[in-house]
Parts: sequence; C-alpha cells; structure tokens
Amino acid sequence: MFNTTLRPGRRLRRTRAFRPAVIAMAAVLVLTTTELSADRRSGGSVRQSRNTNAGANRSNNYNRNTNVNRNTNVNANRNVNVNRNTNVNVNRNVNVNTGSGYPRRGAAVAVGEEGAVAVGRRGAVAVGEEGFVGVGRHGAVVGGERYESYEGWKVAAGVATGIAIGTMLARPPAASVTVVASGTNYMYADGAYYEQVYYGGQVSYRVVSAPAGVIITTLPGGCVTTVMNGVTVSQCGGTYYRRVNSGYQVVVF
Amino acid sequence: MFIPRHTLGFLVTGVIVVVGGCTRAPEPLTPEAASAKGDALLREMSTNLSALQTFTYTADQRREVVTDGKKEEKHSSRKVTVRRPNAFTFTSTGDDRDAAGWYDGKHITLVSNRAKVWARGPMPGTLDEALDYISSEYAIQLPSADLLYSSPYDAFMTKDTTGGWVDTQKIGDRTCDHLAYKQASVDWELWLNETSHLPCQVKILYKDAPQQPATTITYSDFDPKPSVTDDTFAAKVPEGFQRIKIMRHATVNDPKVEEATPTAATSGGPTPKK
Repeated sequence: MFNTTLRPGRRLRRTRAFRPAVIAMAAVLVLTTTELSADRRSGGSVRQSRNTNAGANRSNNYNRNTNVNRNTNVNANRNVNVNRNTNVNVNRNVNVNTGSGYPRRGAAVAVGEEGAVAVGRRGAVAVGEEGFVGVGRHGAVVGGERYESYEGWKVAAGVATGIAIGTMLARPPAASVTVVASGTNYMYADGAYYEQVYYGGQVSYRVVSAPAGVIITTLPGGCVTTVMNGVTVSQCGGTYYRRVNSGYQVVVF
Repeated sequence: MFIPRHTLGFLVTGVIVVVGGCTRAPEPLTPEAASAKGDALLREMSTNLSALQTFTYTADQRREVVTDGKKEEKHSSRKVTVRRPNAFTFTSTGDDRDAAGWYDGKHITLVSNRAKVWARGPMPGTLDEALDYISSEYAIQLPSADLLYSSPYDAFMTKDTTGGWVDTQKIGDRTCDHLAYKQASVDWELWLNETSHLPCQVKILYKDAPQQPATTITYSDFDPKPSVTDDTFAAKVPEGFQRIKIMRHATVNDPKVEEATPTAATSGGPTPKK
C-alpha cells in the first residue's frame, strides 16, 4: 500500500511528511474497517449470518480468499473453476491500467471475459475498465462495507484529511457533480472522485484515484503550483491538474 | 317470564363455565414436545419446498437498519421466480430500490432502474452453490435464502439451535404455526401455513449487530406451477444503462507466487512478507 504507484515502476516521492501521512492513512483504514464491520452482520439469511460471523471472527480466513477457493470450503472447487475460467490466465501480459482503483507494485492484470482483475503477491486488487473490483485479501483495503453518506463517513472517520480511496458511500456527497472520463461517469466533490459500483446488491459510490483526462471547473482547496516534466501544474494532494480552456484537467505522470 | 334472581345467577354462571371450557387455552407443550413438534413441521416444510421445481412468490420485507446510530425501518417488496436446479429472477421495489436481477446458472446480472446502471458477475452452476456464493463473494444479503436451498431444514438448523413450536398465529388471513429458535448469532422465527406447511413469514434478529436489528419477511402469492421459459431467466438490461463494476472478494493469487510456493498454496495462499 505504501508503495502505491502512479504507473508501474514509479513510486511516489517520499517526503518528510510521508511517514505521518502513512500512519494517518492506516488509522483511517482501521477506523473505516472497524466502524463498518458490524454492517456485514445483519440483513442476511440464517445460514448467511452463520457463515458471515464464523468468517469474521477468524478474520484471516474470511479475508484469505484463497482458502475459500482451496478446498477448505464445499464450494471451493467450483469457485476456483469459475474464477479461473473467467478471470485468470487470459492475456497475462497486459500492463496495469491506472484508470481507476490503484494498482499494486508489480501487479499483473488478467483480463477475462468479465473485465479485469489485478492479481498481486497478496491477492487480488481490482483495476479495470469493466467487470470486477476486488476486495483486498487482507481486509477492506479497496473497499469493505459502506457509509450511508459523506457526512456519516466524516463523523465515523473523525479525521481532517480527505476521504480515502476505496471508501464507499451509499450516495455521493450532496455537492457532487458528474464528470466523464473515457466514457465513464464519475461523481466529483471537494477533490474526491467517486465511481458507481455494485456492492452488496446495491449501487454504491466508491472513492477512486482521479481519472486521467477528467476536467473540473474549480480546483479544490490546498493546491500548490509546481512544474512536472516541464509542465506547470497544480498539485492537489496526490492529483495533478493542468489548466485548460474549460477548467482544470487531471494529468497522470 | 319471570326468572328468579338466584336462578338467573346459576344460569349465567353455567354459561360462563361452559363457554370458558370450550375456549380454554391448550396445555402448553413441554420444551421437548415443542422442540419435536417444531422439528417435524420444519422438516415437512423443507420437504415440500425442496420438491417444487419451479415456483414464484412475493416477499414483503421490513428491514431494520442502523443509520448514524439510529434504527429505522426500510420496506421493500420482491417478486421472485425460482427454477431448480440453477435459475432465479426477481424484481424489487421499495424505499431505497427499484431493481431487477437474473441468475441463469452462469452469471448474476443486476439492474438498478433508479441509477440506470447494471452489473454482471460469474456464478456457480447450481442454486445451492449460487446462494452461498452470492453472499460470500458479492456480500449480497438474501434473508429469504434459507428457503431456497435444496434442504431449507439444513440451512436453518445447526446442532446448537434450540427452540421449537410456540403457538398458532394469524398472518393476514392465514393461520400459521409459529416456530421460534435461537442460535449463536441470530434468533429466528418462522410461521408456517398450518395447511400447506409453506412459509407465511420469517423474522431474523441479528444479535451481533449494533442495536440488534431485525428483518421480517411476509410471503404471499405463492404459485407452485408458474408458466416460465428459459427467457424468463435471461437478463434484460434496458437500453442506455451504463455497465458498472461489481464488488467481489479477491479470489485469485499471482500465479507466479503460487508456482513458487506450492505448499503455501495448499494451506491457503502464499506466506505474507514479514
């Protein structure tokens, strides 16, 4: 996670603020996971509740999805077959696409019939245009449960920094607007981008990294002007914008 | 005709005794008898349901959810069609949804008419596996799922489940046997039509969740012989809807890591870096 790349082979530059920022991010994720874990324990059938709670109490097993697919579960073989046939071992040499989600260092992307799922040393984290967004092997790294609203997230997270990538909301912030990148709609508000995903059978809004090419009319607060590769850009957190006629366009270096 | 007061008193008392005797509540069952009776009814329900190859029903759901620390109730109604061994379809409307879904033995396709989006993901080839998968893989909560397995009895019951028959109650215009059970994470109640032994209603209390919310589903319009075709279970995505991703749990590992550590793979995956 702390080696998040913008493109394969490149790292974020570590500054003095890096370690505290990492610690803050970890705290946000812990809060996120803890606060939302209870949501998983209601709403299902009697059998589902039994299986969910058995897994949650043994968090490693619940999130160690290879166990589900490695002969320790009655459905394991069929799940492995389903996944292998549709997700894996097709065109392994496709490079990671940074269009949405966040790739792991050294991750390969398997493109299957239903879209792309990135696989990494620690399990699958989804990157892709269509199809699947995976939940990280070790817990709600990419996404877990969801908050009912942005305001609900703010109360639960209790942090002053922005909403973390992977956080999910039942509805986008009230002030959000629709922006488009590569034919895909996103919601944008206050420096954060949200893509619609299906989670738990309901449409949710998941925070993603800024999609390349998106144009916004006004920069969020806290941006600084800098020069990258000879281009003057505005750096807003981890996102870079260059001035265009209609506003500010996301650029990825 | 004049009736002396003392005679009238005897007559009234006699009527009260007779009427009271006719409507006296039955002797409560012992716990063992209640458990046995409940078990027998459950098994009969399970046998009757699992014998149906194709059926439809309506499920009216009242689900308690905790939002920002407050418990509120959400309503929805779902029309479901099931065809064993590997297909179902539903439409769902309610406070927070206007959706449809199809499972055809290969995929689950979900459509949100409210958001004008749809998604699709792979599924196992049988209904039993699909019901487990939809929960473990897609985190989709289906409170009625227990009734759709090939053995609803086994879906509900564990060796640690306690409870049994309680009484008979009216659900709408139906008289239903009321069963109540407890187990580790949930308490649940099931009302079975006293004639057909098919479900009238189910209520599940989630004891491990904050504020212990409950979901109650009332069943109606049950049809054991609906007219369906393969097209009934073929997904119908409206024109112009945008395809979006569907969240699922990671189910693959880096093949290179698997090849390097075959023993780790059989025990559940590669050893995490230290």
